[in-house]
Amino acid sequence: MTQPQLKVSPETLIADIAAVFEQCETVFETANHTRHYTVADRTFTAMSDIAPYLNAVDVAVASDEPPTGTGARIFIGVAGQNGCPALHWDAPYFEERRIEALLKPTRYRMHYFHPLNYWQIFDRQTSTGLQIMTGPDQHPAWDLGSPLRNFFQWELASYGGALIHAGTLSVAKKGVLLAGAGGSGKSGTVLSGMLSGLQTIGDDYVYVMPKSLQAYPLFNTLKQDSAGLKRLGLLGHKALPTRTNWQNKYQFYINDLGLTPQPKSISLHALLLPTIAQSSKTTTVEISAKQAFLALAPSGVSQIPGDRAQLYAAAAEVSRNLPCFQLNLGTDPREVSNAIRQFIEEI
Amino acid sequence: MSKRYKTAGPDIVHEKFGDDLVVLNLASGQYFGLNTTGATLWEALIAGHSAAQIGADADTSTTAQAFADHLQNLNLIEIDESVADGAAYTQISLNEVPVIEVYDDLADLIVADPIHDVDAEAGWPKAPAEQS
Repeated sequence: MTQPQLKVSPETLIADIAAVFEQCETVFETANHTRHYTVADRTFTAMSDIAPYLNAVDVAVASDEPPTGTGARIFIGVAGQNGCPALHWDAPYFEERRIEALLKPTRYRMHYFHPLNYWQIFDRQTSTGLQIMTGPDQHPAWDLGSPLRNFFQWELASYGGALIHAGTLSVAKKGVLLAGAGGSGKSGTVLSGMLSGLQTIGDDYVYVMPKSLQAYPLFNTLKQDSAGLKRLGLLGHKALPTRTNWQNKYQFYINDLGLTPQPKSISLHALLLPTIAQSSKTTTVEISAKQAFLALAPSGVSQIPGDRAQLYAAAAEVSRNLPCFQLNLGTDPREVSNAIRQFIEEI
Repeated sequence: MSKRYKTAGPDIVHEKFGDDLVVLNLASGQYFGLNTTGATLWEALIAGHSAAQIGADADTSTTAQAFADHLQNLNLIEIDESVADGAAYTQISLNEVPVIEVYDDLADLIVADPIHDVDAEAGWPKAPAEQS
């Protein structure tokens, strides 16, 4: 059966999105596969006919708790199949910020990646999400590293927290955030720490409650280039895939490293900005909240559309509420990890 | 008539860090770090006070007006025609020059807007080669 093509236009955006949800109501009932994920104590139910996609979500999303309540529901479908409509952006350009501003006072959030005609739309009032692709694997290359990320932000924003683009390390559920741009050493520091007995709730994105400074895991995904893996003695590890991802990094998962289970949440006690210092010893230097914020906020704000102002405010609050330090990384991974362990235990 | 200002729309957001301030233009992706004096002037200006009201002396008013002009040129504030003369602001003296640090390197990450600008191979948030 031919499915309708629905037009979405900036001029009639709210009505168009409402029409999309109306058209899609039955897809939740007819989807062949259903999965439940508990993220930050909230249940997300993903429904789809694309079993491989859900399998990838299973691996990447940090959830091994039973579902708690109904929570949010998200349908992942292929346009034109099984009742899922094809969507068409009915304007010459998609201006992300303009659309974000239009939707801010409304119940809706959306993301549109035009090269693949890939859509994510969320109704905050009903906690219902739609991810519509043109084919089962027609998602952005980076999508499977942090699948459903935007939906997590859009839903969890209602509970006082926000997704923060940072890694973590912890000892006995007492932890630190590690933030910085690509190449700062953040992911390598997290991975090195894990191999030395520290724990983590993530190396890329975590959900943080800025007031209570509790942080929760979102994804099991780890990424590292071959040089970093070699430095840590992980080249050839059975957890690694045979091929690198779109960033020429190996993408693998915490659970495959054979380590002790990671915590379900941690309390944050500091914000660290790793810097590759090439020094013999790892040191910390206290920095201002403003400096820390300037390192923490930009990438997260840029990578999660729809809630930029809220993400900016959350990153600011986290920076203000935590003591902030530049972490000058030594060259020996074990020494770095020991220094961070000592830092966490003493702070 | 003394000019009054307001932030230049909902794209302009700011956060205070101690005595300093960071302003973000969500539309352009530019960040602006203001030192203590800059932050003081920013808060007074967006509260609707004119440069003349702010200054405890002529030099301060001149500095405040120049700073306001700079903020306006950066599209962070705009003239607010709707503000009537209100109570005088507690006048301030400036101990240091107001400074605005512009962080343009983040704009590539945030803007990529319209998203046609995104590099289709490398993906979000990497801008295409000709723009980076």
